Amino acid sequence: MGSALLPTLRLKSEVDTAIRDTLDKVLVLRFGRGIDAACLHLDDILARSSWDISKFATVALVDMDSEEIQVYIDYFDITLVPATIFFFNAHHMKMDSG
Amino acid sequence: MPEKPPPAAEFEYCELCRHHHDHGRRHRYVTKHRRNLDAALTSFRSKLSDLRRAFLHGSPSSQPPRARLWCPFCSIDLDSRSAGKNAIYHLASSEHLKGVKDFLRKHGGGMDQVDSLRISEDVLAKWEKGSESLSTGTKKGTEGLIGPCLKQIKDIQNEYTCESLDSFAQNNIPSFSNTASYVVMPLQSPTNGAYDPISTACHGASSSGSARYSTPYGTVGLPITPWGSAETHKQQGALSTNLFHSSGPETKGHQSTVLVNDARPSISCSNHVQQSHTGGNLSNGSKENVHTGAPPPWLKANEHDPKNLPLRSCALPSRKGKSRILNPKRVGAAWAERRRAEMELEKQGEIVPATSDSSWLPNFGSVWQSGTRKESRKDFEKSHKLHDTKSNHDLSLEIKPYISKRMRVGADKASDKAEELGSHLQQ
Repeated sequence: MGSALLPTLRLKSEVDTAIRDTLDKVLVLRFGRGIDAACLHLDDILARSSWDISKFATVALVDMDSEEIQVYIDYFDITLVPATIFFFNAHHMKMDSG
Repeated sequence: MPEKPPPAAEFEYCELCRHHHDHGRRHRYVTKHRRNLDAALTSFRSKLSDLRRAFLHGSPSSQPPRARLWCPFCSIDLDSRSAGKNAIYHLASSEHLKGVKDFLRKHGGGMDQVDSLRISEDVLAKWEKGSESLSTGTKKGTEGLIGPCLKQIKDIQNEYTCESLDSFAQNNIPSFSNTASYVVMPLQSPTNGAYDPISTACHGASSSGSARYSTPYGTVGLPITPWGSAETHKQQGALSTNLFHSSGPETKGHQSTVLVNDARPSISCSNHVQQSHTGGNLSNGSKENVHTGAPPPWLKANEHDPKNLPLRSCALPSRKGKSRILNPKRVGAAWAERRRAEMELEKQGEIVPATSDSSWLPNFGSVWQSGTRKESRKDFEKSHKLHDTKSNHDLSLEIKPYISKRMRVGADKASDKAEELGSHLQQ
């Protein structure tokens, strides 16, 4: 159960489409679970800020519990939940925060 | 249980800076806050001086100045039109004085500015005198100097006692009448005479089908000539910088197809083109042109050249409305251009959208690894391949029974004897 405003992606094809078709805009993918409290908190923040950043960024949620998404979890080596990954023109953007 | 934050850091909201802070009283010394405070006080002072001048030198009995003044100290909207007297009374009142002092105390302004932010009793008394005398009608002549001129500045369409305005109305604009309200009508006929020859040019070109330049919007000051001509580029001006920068006579076809292909940039193009809506008033009997309201040719789905894809991708903006020149050195620029072209073709049905490959993965750099994205991708693929090969080996192993050496040797000898017998028999 994700945010009512943000799309939740559960299939690999959906994630691929989001990454491939978001052009010249930052794509923010939140990998997490809808039942996790930290994920819900992050989802709330992302949903509230998505309008403000809509001109240059798109936000989407990815359900980690889906089978097809496991390949991305392996690829991204996601261990912490939630994990936020940024893309720009289908290129992963490494973020250094703090 | 979560720990409570320390009580010392209490967040306050600053109306001037429009954000929360936990600086406490130190916030008033922040540079940005002082700048905002100065700006707010300066703007209020200028509005107050305009109001003061209008009340003192204008004629309160007739049309009051139309200024709406928001009093930030008391959070009251002073609409001088509906309650003109109340505005000046409020600004001279003790409540306003108290509000000003509290505001300055809270936000750090000096107390010496109090007088400049209110109307003093002297000014109020002068205004009251003036209004009394005006009501008796003695000051009509002397006050016609500033007040009507002010009104002239603010209300040029309404007729008033100002002589210059009268002469202006009589000499220059015969259609103006001495009415209180005048509605500005849009131009009923085009003032640009270039439309006539152009419409005939459109006539001539439209028969060939190569130049149907009609738009649903009227254009003013942008004469449209057939594509590819040298005049087009001069006359199009700003419109041409984005669309026709690679133009020439040989690109005539390219230009028309460029605009036809993509509906999105055409909207931005039409935004450039659209100046005012003339309502199609040219009555030249032409069919399917801008004046008859026919759809523009670039919005129609026609055959297009795949050669135009790179031209379109670099020439036309990707977003509606604002034209944006994207940095060609941005990350993934080549991918973006290629993908955009593919999406356009998919939209038009030329290319079947490729079903997502289950093995496709983005160009990714692992979170915990350093190095380029390609390296991390290669590492991942290697590790995946190892997994795959291991699984393949497992499947291909066959379980065979153990054969001893004697059995193997005996089997070899038997096979040799069989061959000799076979050769003897043949002989």
